Amino acid sequence: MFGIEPGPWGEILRTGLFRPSAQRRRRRALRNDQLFKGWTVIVREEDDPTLVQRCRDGERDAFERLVIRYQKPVFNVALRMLRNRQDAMDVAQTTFLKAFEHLGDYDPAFRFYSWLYRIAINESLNALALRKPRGELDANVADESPGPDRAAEGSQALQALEDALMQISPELRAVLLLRHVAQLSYEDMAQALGLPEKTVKSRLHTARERLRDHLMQDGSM
Amino acid sequence: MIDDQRMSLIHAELDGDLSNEQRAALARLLLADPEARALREELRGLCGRLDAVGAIEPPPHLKDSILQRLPPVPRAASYRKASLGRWRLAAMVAGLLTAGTIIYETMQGPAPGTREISGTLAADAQTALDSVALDGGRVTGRATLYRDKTGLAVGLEVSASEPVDLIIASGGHSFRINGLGRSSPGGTKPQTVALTGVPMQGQDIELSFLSGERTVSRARLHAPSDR
Repeated sequence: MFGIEPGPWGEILRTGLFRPSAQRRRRRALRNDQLFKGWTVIVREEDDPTLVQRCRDGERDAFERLVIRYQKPVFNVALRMLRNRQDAMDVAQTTFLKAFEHLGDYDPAFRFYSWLYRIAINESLNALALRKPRGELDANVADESPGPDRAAEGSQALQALEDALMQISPELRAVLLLRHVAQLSYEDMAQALGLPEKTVKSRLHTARERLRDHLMQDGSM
Repeated sequence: MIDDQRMSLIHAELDGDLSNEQRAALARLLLADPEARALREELRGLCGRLDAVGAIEPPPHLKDSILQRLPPVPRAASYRKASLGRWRLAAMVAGLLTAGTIIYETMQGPAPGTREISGTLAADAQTALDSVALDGGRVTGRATLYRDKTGLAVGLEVSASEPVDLIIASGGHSFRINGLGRSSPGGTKPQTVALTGVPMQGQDIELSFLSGERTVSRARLHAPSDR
């Protein structure tokens, strides 16, 4: 019940005196803005491990930086997995909420974005599994609610590619998306999928071949 | 029909993952096998199409909708891994203190009706020396300084809106107690902390209650001189 530790002063000094509070940092940033008005100020973006550590220290603005940084790739992977804008938005939301809640479980030995993609892929697979009982809607859902951007982007070739992507298994689709849409390395993909690199390579090769077969069947290749 | 090994060479080339030796093997394969050449071109075209899939802007309200739904930072959970070592150390120190007190009690002879209180031992025959009400907003209750045959002890009846840590400091000694004020089914339980090694020299005993390493309440107890 009791945790008794001798000499907590070092810790208090570190956190209380030498580490500026979030409020103080914001105030300092404001002062800097006024100071450098009219100048070109190069701002160094904090890297993921720094932002994650700040989140763990209870600074919510650090998590906001991570959301800004990764909302687009996470949303895009979910969109291509699910082919439905609203579902992709739900998955992106859940991904970030789960990441925030489980930040204590995140192992910094892995890349933060690999961990984030892992959550996003799992959430997408869950969403697809829930979708199944409503009928095999996967391939048609996008056409029901295409969203404003799809009309602009939609060439026939892209349409055919997306159709073919929805015809391969979600597990194979995930590998293709992590490689070609998220542009992850084999190592990052292995982290994101929780698989050995060798398995990732073999799954990627199979996924390409299946996709090629579908495109050829549809006459789109 | 192209076998798996040769197929792997084509994929590896697409991923920029070929060694010099494999590159040479692929070149030989492509020279000798028109089917392999055709397949390579098809897969190159496919990868090109996949790479060209443009990124779509997420809905503008996505970020805000995420941030609005964030729960308060679950501090204890966030520090789960880091705090494991801390808890282990705390448990070890608490164990040593308990063992020390038991040995001391044994050497002193049987004490009249001792009782165990949450990891430390305090004798029953206690004299209240000082008491202070805690009404610092987030921490309420009472802290009382006792003296018994083993020395000083602080009795705590603490309620807090969320668990707080307490640092008890006196005469160069300090103790840290984590997770005070946790609600339990039977309400807040009184707890007693034996201040092992703290002599009575007419000094003050400072209590600092911390939440997230910020002091949320302070109190002071006075220990009279031991005459």
